[in-house]
Amino acid sequence: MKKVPIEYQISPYMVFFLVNSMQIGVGLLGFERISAKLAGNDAWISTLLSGLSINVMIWMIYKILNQGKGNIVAIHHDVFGKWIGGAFSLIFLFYLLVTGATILRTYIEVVQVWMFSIMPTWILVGIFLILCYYIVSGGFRVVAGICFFGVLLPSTLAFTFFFPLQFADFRNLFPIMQHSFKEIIKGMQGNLFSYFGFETLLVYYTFIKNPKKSQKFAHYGALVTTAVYTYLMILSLVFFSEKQLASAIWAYLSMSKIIQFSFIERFEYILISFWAFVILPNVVLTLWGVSRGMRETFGMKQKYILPILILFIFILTILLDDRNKVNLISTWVGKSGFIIVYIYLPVLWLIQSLQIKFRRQT
Amino acid sequence: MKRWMVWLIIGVLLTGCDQTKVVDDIDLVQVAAYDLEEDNLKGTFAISTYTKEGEGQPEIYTASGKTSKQILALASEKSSKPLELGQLRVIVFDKDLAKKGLKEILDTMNRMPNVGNLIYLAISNGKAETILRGSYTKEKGISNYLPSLIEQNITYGILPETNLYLFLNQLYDDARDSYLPIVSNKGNILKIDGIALFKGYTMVDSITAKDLFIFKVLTDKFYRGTYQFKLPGTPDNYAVIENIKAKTKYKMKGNSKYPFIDARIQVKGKIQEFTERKNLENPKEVQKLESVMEEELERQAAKLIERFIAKGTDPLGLRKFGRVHTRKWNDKEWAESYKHLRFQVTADVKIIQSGVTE
Amino acid sequence: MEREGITAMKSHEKKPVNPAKSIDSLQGLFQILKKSKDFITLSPPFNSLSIRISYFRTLVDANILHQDVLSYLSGRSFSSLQDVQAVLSFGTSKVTEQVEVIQKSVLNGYILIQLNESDSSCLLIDISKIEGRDITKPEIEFNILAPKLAFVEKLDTNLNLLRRKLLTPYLRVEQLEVGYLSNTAVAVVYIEGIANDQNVKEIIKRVSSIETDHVFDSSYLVRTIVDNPNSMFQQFISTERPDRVAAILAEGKIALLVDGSPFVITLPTTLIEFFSTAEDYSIPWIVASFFRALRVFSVLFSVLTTPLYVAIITYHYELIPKELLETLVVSRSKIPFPPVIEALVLEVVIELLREAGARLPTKVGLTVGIVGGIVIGQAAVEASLTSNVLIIIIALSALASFTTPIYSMGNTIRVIRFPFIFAAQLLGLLGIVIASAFLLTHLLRTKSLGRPYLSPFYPTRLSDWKDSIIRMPLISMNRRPLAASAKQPIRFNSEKAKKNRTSPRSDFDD
Repeated sequence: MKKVPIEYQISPYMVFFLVNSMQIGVGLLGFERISAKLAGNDAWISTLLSGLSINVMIWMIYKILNQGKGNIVAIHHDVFGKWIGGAFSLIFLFYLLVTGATILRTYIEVVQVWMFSIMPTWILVGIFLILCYYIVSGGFRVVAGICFFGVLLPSTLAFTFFFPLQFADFRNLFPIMQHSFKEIIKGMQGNLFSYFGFETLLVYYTFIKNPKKSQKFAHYGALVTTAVYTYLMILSLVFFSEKQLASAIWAYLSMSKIIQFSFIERFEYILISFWAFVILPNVVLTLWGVSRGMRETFGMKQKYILPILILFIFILTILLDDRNKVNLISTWVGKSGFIIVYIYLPVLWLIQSLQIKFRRQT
Repeated sequence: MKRWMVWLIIGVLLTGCDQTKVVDDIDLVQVAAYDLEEDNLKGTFAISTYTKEGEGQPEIYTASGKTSKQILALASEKSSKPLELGQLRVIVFDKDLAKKGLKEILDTMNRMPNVGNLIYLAISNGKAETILRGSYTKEKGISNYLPSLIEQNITYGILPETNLYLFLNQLYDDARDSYLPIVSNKGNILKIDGIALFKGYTMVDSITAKDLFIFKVLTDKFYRGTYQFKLPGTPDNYAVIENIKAKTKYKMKGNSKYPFIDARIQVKGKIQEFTERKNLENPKEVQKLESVMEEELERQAAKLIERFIAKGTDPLGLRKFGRVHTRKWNDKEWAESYKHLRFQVTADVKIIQSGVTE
Repeated sequence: MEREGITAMKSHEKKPVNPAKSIDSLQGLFQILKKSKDFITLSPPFNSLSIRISYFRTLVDANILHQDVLSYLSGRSFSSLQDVQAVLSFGTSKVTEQVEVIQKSVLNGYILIQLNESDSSCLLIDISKIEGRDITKPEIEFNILAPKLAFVEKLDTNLNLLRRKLLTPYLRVEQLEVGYLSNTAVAVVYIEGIANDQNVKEIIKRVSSIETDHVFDSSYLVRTIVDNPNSMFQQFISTERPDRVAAILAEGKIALLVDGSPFVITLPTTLIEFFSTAEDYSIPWIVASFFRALRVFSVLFSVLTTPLYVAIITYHYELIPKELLETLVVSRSKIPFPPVIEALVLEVVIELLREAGARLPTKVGLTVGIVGGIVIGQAAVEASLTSNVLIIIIALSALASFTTPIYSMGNTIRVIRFPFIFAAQLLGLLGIVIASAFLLTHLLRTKSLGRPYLSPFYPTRLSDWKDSIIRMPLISMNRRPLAASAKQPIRFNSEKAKKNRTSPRSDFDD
């Protein structure tokens, strides 16, 4: 495994932005609904629990990466050998790619529903993908820069989190813990998918200067996400009545409809447009991660892989032409993410640790 | 590879324009009204015509149909530019329609992303269409007058806060019912007539403007508005109090089967007008005045609450208090026990200023 | 055989014609120079020796030639050039045989003295006369509370101005030559021990590898060596103020002076540097911060307002508040064009006015401004060709673009408005956001001398933020900006500076 030259690497603190920007995405606009359906007014507890469990997973990912030499592709190669390891890597990369496509498609759907109802999907996707190509072809530092600004610029929108409080009815939260523990765990299903994306860490790990130092920043990033999601969950619980929330597809956007200034009405249009800055890191980092992973698996140059990947996303997003299909693939991605993060990675860790122990003994 | 990108860019540029909605090429509906017409729904849409001289008489388009969307489409057939709802500010409903239920229209409005959440809903005393067709002063066409009227009365007056979002929120919440203002027109003047009380999507009762202050004290926490108390003794002896801060605290005792509501009204205000010459420097006089006011408030509030109970509507969200404060809450029991709910209202009035003169 | 011949010919054709290179003897040089009328060869009759003096009449100072050279030579005899050199006491004189040196010197205003016509060695004496204007006030980068000196076209004068600002032996001047026709002198100036060696090496490498025939200006020269020549954003600062250059050199950056250009180039730079002025450091830091922030805001304002107008009027009428709706609808109501055409036409008109004003002499330019601003604007509104709201917006955004201290950045800002307007027409607010993302990516990809352009924001250098959008007190700037990657990062001892500061005490402190 060739070492990544230092001029391509990023400082450890950047991991905060990479993790955070990957987690906050299109999920923020509407993750509340399913959780609220499953866990009612205790949904915020499930959101909090999900966030904490994600931190445990980040800790585990660092264990895996620190033990292994290199990123997930190299580790797969080490643990399973060339062929099986390669196959596993490809499955993982495919999952990442589909995640990216799903995020993009979901955002485009929001744009179509709220702003441009007759705009064909392929145009919006096309413009986005051109932008993505321009970013990814700038190398990892540019991708990381987009992630950085993808956190920094939208964080100016944080004030929108406080507007709905004027209509908040905190009585909605009570009585707390009315729902059974099982229901709360079930409620985690609804929001876990929104937390995913941090697993790209498995790919860009080798691009971090002092990767061991970066772990705390990854945790900070995930904790900020947890705080934001939990806050938003509480906010939408107190803002909406329960049935209303269960029927709101994009709860956050519906909430932002009440934001009004004397010089601008209907702030949600600005919010949706600005959300492109939040979506961009998600798509760009997955694209970069997949192309990098493929490069390491096949030994091809990223320059040649990237157009193929972009074409794949382009076609996939066009094929997803109605709400049902988008929902279907979202569920699929959520489930695969769950399997990969919560089942496969612990298993991988176990096998890897055993192997290392075994090798040491012999 | 660079070439396919160039082609993609050109393709996007050539086909990229969505249907534009240039602000002067569309007709902006600012006030809409819906009437019940036998078994049809009749929609009326007021479009402001802006000229350099100011706002002219609004153009009015009407159409009848079964659903609100169809009505809009039919009305659009009559106008020179497409009708757009993105600047909608008030929807007025006919009383009969409100009694029949507003579910279909409101659900449609809620579904449309370009309709704002902060638009006002109102019930008209007569036909809703007449409110739109009335001729008002030249500077104030209906599309400016009506929203300003409601807004002004909510922020500075005694109208409880309502809008589309709040109405739907209370509607979807099974623990409280909602209410909307009633408007009427006389000549070139619009007027708030009171509050319509809803049970679910249907209007069940209305409260006159006289009781609005009490109603708002019971529902909102607010800072403005005046109330006139009749003082005992001589027949035309009044005191007017300007509210500085008013709210009601509810407590539920007992359980859902045997509930008891304890409502505490708190009003802090200053004396605005006082027909009787009395020395308000004297704390005893002030206390006396306060207790007179307290009694009046208690009596009026109790009357209102009894009325809510009689009509089976719960605009105060008492069920919610019960649910929050009482363990082992049972909704079914409550539905039964609400019919003969026991309650007590205590008022606490504090006069903290009496103006600049003694 | 034939094939080889053809390829040889082709490669010969591609090679640039470089006549200077082919001269290899003094005779040959004389042959070429003699063809010019202003090349003089004297063989003074006043002594027996066949001494010969050659020079360009147009390049030398005739007074010095007559008073200090010819008068000393008359009536003496010399046995060697060293004798001549001893008699003529000039600082810059040399004896050489190298044709290349001779050629260069003669072209720079040296006189050439030979004892014999056939001698290959000759004495070169510098009596050059350089015509140029006097030092004037800075006109493009005008500051109110700052030194009033600007660079001129003479390299030596410029270096003089610079050395006067930095009286340190460590100020290094490396001289290079660029362009085989112009042979322009280029000076790379930096402070040894502070400037990053890698940067110095890189810049010398880049300058000396320039392939061109002539250089007429410093910006022209630097355009060929920047990291990304296709970028609209300048990756260097070109300034006419010696004080600014001195300050930048003290930060550990490098300056490039080109003979014949009154603009000095400094490298590496960051985007935010374009919004600072020398004045910022001479006014209280709170005021300075306010102006800095104002300039950055004015960029955003200038780039975004017209596209926002187009986007909102074309797609997002929902955003318009009730109170503004009437104004907008009334001002738009009689205009036959869609908003984007209206905006583009007005933008182009403003650009025309600016361009016309810049090309014309100052006094006429003023008239153009008045005619354009008042007469055309008024008439266009009255004729219902444009809305008065848009005129206000466009005039304001043009005004805002002029607040950038570095002239060329103002140009960039005005040009990038146009893609934003197109994007707004295409996708409304979303289009503006996507265009901003493109711009951001471009800035992220841009580098100045291999250093990130968006520093200190990305990569984040929190310690550099105190001299970015805001300017913190001078005492806090005890370190050189990380963006310059100076060899010696510490500027002064902040502890000492703090201790030395005398602040009045009050009873509250005791």
